[in-house]
Amino acid sequence: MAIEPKNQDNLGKGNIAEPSIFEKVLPNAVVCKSNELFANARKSSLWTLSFGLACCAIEMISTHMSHHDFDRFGIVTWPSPRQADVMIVAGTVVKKMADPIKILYEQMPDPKWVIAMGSCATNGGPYYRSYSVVMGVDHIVPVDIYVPGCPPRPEALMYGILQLQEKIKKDSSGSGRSEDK
Amino acid sequence: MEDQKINKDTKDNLPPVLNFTPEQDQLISLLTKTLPSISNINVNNLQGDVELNIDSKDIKSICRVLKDSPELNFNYLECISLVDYEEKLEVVYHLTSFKLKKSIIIKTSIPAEEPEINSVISVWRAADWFEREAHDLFGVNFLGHPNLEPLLLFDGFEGYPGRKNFPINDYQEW
Amino acid sequence: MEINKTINSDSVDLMINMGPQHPSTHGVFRLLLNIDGERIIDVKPYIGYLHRGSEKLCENERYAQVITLFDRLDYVANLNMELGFCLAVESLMELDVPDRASYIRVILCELNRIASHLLFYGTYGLDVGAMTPVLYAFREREKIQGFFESITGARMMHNYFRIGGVKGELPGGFGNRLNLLLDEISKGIEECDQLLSKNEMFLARTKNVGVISSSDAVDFGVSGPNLRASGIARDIRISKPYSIYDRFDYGIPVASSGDCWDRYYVRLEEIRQSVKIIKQAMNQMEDGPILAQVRRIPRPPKGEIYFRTESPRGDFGIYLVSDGSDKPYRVKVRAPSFANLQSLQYLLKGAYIADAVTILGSIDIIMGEVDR
Repeated sequence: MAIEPKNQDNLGKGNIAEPSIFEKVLPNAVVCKSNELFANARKSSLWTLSFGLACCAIEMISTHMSHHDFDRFGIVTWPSPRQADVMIVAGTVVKKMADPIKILYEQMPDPKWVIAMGSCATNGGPYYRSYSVVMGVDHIVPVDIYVPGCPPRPEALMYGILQLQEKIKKDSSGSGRSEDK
Repeated sequence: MEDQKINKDTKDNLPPVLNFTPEQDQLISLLTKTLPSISNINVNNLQGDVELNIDSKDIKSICRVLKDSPELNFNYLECISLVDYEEKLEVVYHLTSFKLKKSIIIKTSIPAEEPEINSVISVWRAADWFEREAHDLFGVNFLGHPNLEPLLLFDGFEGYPGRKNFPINDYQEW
Repeated sequence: MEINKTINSDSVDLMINMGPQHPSTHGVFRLLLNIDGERIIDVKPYIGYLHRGSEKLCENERYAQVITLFDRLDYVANLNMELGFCLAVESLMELDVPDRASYIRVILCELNRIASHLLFYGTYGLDVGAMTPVLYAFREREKIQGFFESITGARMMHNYFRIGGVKGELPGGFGNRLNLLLDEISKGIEECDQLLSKNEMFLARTKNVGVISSSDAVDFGVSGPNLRASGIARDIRISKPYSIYDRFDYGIPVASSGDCWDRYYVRLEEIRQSVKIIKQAMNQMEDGPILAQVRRIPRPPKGEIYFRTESPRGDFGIYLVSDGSDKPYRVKVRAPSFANLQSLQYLLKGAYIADAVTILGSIDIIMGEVDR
């Protein structure tokens, strides 16, 4: 049974839909909330502040290296807080380091996110209730994602980043972080 | 001189565990030759190192002799450890001589209240941070140390966390 | 290197703060540099940004639990730390470890030494401005970590050694996989060596930079590869053999000039020697028990011991005081990095500001061990 083309214009174009009226009026334009648009751009190019505190830093470096290749998520590690989006707190936060971490967090431009990597940064981990350790970095700065493990595997950190991307996307539609402030 | 006699007498009556090997005997005779004032020498039978128990006042002079004497030449300070026995603090120095290929232990006790001891930084520069750490964690005042600023702890930390009377789970919220 | 103060008498000293967050301090370490023109005239190191109170926490843990905390001291060479503590407790209890367990320990420790030196190789490349070596080093390191995972169950914090032996039997096909791994590593090391060691720019950055004489190094308590680079052949594995290190035939690489390149190359050479040790241990290993008869909660007799082992960074000493209970009375760790870092003040004085990171990197510090 032969199918006759209904419209001569669409001949041979496969799955391409017929241009909408909008496309005809405003070609190559995208309509969405600006929040969502920026969030989509942000989540795909997160620059992490490269600062390792302790053991987790080694696994963080491993994640950045060729075997696990963090780059494919758009993650670039950056030594300066001024151009960083995400702070990965990789390791034990001791009281002497608490103030520098706060300063680093304040130096990062908005919008910014924090990942607490490993059990030390989450709640003190093996150093629970030690006299010089802060019981979790969330006592100092707000934390978005907690990655469990001592130290977390590179895959776990990757999953944490994926979750963060998810969070950035969700936050843009609805009550996002920027509105919380 | 009397101390020396007593020591010689007791050395003969030592229990069988503390029988010295010829090597240890050699080191002990060297030590007694260079440091006739030391009365209390024994051997840690687990690791076989010779142990000197001395008065805390003599620490600097004895360390100076141990390092400078050409026969002994204990030029490598491995570690300065402090042990809190509540009624007293024990300062333990682990020294090694590259020439003799031997290690010795020097032990001295200081009171737990206002502990003071002469610094050995002029003998070995390695003592610098070990003493600062001990000052930090145990509150020991090292006389003659040029800079006893807090090394490990943050400014304004109260108490000496290395000591036994410092509670282990005394966590102050940050 | 002497600084002629009279030439620059008009200039004002500039103070530069480096750290605690700095990509090349290998952790959290702060330096205050006073510079006059291009020369560093005074250095003030600040440590303690990772002081976690491990020694105090050890006093509240049972002997078997302390191993967990020792894992996290030198977090690049975890198994070497575990070995030090286990051997200290075992010699306090005068316990004999089964042969097979000792061989497993030596094989894993030497692999860990390779992994640690590979990390040094990679990050040192980064420190002097070469980006590629770190990728090669981590390619090899990843293989070792994967191998560890198949044996101990963890990539980094193994907690595999027990007082009196090791936790579990080796998985099947261990020998073949180890041989394959060693072949790959040996090939990888040669590649790494060719990539960086004789590079003209690398030589210009590291040769005759940060020189420390043997007498100064000894005075500062420097140990390990740093001391051997200054010309003193001191290695605890040879001078006072612990565990079963007296059964193998291997060399201790020693350099003479004590500059950054020597410190770098001694470590690279040590990797080759470690491969040699592992191969011998593989051939000598026989079947047998892997854990000695130990009480579930070990209680060493009253006494004390200072046990030295050779960690990848140098003399790792543990001063252990026992009061006869199930918890240690006092644990004092003599961390090699702690003493090595002291020599930095001497090394940096008079050096160029551009060499500061080169010199710091060549000491190979791990802050977890320095601050404890």
